[in-house]
Amino acid sequence: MLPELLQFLQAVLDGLLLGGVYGVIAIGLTLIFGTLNVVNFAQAEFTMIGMYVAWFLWHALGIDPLLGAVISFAAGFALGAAVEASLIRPVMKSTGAAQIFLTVGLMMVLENGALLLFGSDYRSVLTPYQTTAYRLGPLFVSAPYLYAFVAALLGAGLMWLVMMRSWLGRAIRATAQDRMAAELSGINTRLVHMAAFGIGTGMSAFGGGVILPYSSVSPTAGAQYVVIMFLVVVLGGLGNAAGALAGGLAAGVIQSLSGLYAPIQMQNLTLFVLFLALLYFRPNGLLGGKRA
Amino acid sequence: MKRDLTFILCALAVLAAAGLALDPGGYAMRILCLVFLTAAMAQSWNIMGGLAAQISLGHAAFFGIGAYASTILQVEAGLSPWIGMWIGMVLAVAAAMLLALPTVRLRGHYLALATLAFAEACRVIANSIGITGGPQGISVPYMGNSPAMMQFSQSGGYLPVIGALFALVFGLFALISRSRLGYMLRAIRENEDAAELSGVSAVRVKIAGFAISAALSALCGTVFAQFMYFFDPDSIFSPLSISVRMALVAIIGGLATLSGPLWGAVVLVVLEETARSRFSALPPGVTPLLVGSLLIATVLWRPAGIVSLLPAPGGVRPGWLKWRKRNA
Amino acid sequence: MPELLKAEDLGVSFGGLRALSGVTFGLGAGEIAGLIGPNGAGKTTLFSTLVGLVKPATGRVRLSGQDMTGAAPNRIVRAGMTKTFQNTALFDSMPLIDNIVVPGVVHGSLAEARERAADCLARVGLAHRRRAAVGDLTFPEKALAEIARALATRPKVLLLDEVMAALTPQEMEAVIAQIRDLRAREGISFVIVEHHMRAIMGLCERILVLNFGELIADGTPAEVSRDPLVLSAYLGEDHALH
Ligand SMILES: Nc1ncnc2c1ncn2[C@@H]1O[C@H](COP(=O)(O)OP(=O)(O)OP(=O)(O)O)[C@@H](O)[C@H]1O
Ligand SMILES: [Mg+2]
Repeated sequence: MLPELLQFLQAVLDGLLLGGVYGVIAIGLTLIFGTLNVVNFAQAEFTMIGMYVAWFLWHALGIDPLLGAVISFAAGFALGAAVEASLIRPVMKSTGAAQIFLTVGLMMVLENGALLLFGSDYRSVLTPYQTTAYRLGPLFVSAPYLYAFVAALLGAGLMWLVMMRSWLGRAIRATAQDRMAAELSGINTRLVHMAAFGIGTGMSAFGGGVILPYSSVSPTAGAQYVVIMFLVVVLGGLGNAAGALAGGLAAGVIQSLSGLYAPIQMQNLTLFVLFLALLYFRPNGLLGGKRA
Repeated sequence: MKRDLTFILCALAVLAAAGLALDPGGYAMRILCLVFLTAAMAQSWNIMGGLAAQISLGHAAFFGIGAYASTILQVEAGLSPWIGMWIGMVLAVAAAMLLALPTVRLRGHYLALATLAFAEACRVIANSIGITGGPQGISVPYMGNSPAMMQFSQSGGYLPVIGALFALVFGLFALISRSRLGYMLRAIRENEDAAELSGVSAVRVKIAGFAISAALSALCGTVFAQFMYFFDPDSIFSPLSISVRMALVAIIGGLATLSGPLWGAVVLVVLEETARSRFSALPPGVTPLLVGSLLIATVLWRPAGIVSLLPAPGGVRPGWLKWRKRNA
Repeated sequence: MPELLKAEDLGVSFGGLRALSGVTFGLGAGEIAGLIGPNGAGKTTLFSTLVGLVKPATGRVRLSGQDMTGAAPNRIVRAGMTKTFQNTALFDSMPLIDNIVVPGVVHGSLAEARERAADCLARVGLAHRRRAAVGDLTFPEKALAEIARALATRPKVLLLDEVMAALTPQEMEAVIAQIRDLRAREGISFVIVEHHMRAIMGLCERILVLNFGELIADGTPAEVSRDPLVLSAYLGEDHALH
């Protein structure tokens, strides 16, 4: 096969593996927006928190981050639910600006809280599969990326099951559609909001756990995902969970492909410009989401 | 109008008195300069963010363009920043138009996201092209004490420049706030549909507001570059320490008010500098943690900001931050 | 005489819901028409479409012969047509008078705008409330303020959406007298949505009836109140037609 074509296919494959994780991180953001109509600017910080949780579990107990990510989810859920009840609820009915600045403030608190607690060191884990790669015909599949991808899909699938099959999922969807009507049919929408916010932050934290084997965590680890996370949800349509996953895959592939043709910093530029173009032409996302 | 003028003149009088009393090369003088520069930055943002509730999280883009324009022109062509600043303003207005194209119809959080991405794009570009000096940053060429090149050997030398900048930005804000444009900006803030049905072209008014706000931010950027001598893309286009900070100072002080950004700047700069100098043993992260908490506390409990704590003749209108969302 | 306002085949849908279909009517200069129909018939949607807040899927809107379909609301307003908001949409943090100043500053100086605003407020009988905060106004006062703000745009066509809903009979009489006076002195045309049948039948020389998004009748009050289609549309409604 032509080397260019191989290189291209390899980049697509790498991008898909990367993008699955973007998807699961962004699903949390989109779930929160879809249910509470709040854009959480602090969302990426929960990914950072999930990474720390997984790191400490690995460091203290030797638990593999892919398993530790389950605990990351639990921690993200608990913290998110507490944040919803104490900070988000009071501004639910306020102007969008109040919500923006509340979550921006939260972002500053979480990032710098981590800096205070853990210092600015970069921490990473050692796993037996760190440098393993599988051959797929002429292509290579890096094991940590593959495992993270599979774990992300499993996580997203599980969330989908909960949303579609469980009582809680039905309550969340009913509340997202029409809070008043949900309230009237006996759903405690306050509790639903808390749960939805918790699941949302939990999913982002879970994503943090599964990427730890191929990345490292520091207090600013979340910051680097902020714009990409928003790109992904806007690509898929804010509030659209399946869209977030598709958007994640698309963003991963675009980023990886632009790496073939442009220097590394320009990869992000491609994403930002794409983001702006998208807002211009399809403000409700490629797949259509909840209306702004 | 009279009250506005009194406020600006009082602030300038304090500035002048402190300028005469303080050691021109001293630390206190530096703080004084930073307070008024920060206030001018926040007030530039306040024109759109406060009066019209068009929340930008990307004003660092305009600020950085102003800083780079004057500095690069001086490095490459020996041009004085007094001239470069005009070019910076023109470029920032052009950038604002470019940004307005996709964003002017966006509302609320979409605008915040788009402006955030725009400033990030500027940061990436500045990091990857040569003329900006790339990630290594850029220095203002050393000229010694040279008023013609807007460069002074001591902080005190900058005080008149910063005072003039403060007077310009605050004066313009007061004028706009009471002008026809001010009425239209506020109408858009409160209800865009009703503003349109009053004949206001939301698109044109927003573009005009963004252009003014961007030009003033660029001007602040030029002065900031001269004051700091050195900057790099990550610091000048920083989402947190520039974009969010401009907004945060205005909010903590009092959104959409004339005096708010000055009070916010006093509190913020004094807080930051005290933590830095007095408690240098404190680990990094404490100050931004406090600032973030202050922002959250303001949004939750004092949406009208510091001005609502001060005795105000005639009373201050409640901050619009806590208003109920409409048509949600 | 060319018609001042002409709506042709207007169609609007929200998702799957057909809110308007095939709505066609014209309005002459100085005409006062009533628009009635059961709740959810599409009256507010029709107004919003006429002033450009809602973009129609089909059809055209012409004002003074000019095609205004798809134009920005502010352009339509400046061409001479505006509407009031059924649930009122005033600029909350401004004192009442400043609300009415906004339309004026679009065209002229602040001083002129203030003068015009004071004049418009006086017309609806709110001159004594000029410095009041919007939050302190009663609902009827807000509805009157909506009229004053709309008047300040110097309209040729004014679309009033249930402005009399909460008024006392005396206040209603005053508004009706004011509408007649505005038509007589400034030649303004009106389309008026109102559930109060007696008021609307007395004031309007022409009635349009909307039901499930379709115009089912267009004629004098007497004709319309005899129309079997109209009667069946209102069957089971609590509004009697007399
Ligand atoms: N923005 C919207 N999105 C979705 N549906 C809408 C929207 N606006 C109106 N509708 C629907 O369109 C239909 C017509 O509504 P509209 O408000 O025009 O009725 P109306 O005749 O003014 O009623 P009322 O007498 O209660 O004021 C209703 O079924 C309403 O639920
Ligand atoms: Mg209606």
